[in-house]
Amino acid sequence: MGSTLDIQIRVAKGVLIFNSIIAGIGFFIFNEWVPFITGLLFGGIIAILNFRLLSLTLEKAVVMAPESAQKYATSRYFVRFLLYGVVIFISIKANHINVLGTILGLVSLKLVILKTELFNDFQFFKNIFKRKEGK
Amino acid sequence: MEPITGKALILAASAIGAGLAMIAGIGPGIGQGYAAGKGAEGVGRQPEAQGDITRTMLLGAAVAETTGIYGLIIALILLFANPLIGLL
Repeated sequence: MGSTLDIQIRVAKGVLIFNSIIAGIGFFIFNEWVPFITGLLFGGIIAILNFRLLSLTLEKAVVMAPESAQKYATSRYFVRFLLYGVVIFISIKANHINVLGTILGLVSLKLVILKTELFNDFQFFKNIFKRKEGK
Repeated sequence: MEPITGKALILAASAIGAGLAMIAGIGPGIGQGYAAGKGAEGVGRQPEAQGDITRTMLLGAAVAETTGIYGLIIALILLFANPLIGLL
């Protein structure tokens, strides 16, 4: 649990901040902003909970035998996939939840991870266009 | 025999489209399982790197999982909130 807890907290904070910014923008764009923000909150919370579920699954899978880890991770993925399906279905059917908000909330996790964990080294992108022949 | 109406045709095509969109959900599942298997192999080979392996795999798996959600969203919208029927 300890090895990924810092990432979980960092990503959860990032999702909350990102969703707050999107909620602020949605407040001005949408006439009916309450369903949008409800959807955003719903999607964001489910995304964070599924990320926690994913971390628990992987922490358990890495100490298993490779074949059983493969089966375990795949079966747990489909459980989470079903959960996502239920969430999107509920937000489509319920009138007081905007489906666009829910989708943005669910996808915000990916955007936050890309921003904070993968594309956070600006020096790398600066060095891409430097020529290296002279050195 | 009744002729096929435009609405029925759209509904049938949407159901087929939803089924095709759900194929996108299978790929991340297979990929995540494969990554977890290789991660377990890596931990078996180098147990002290367990934390690094789990962290890297967690971020990769979370990004990959979102790709499956896109297909799921398309399928559910085609089935339950089809915007094409309104165009008739």
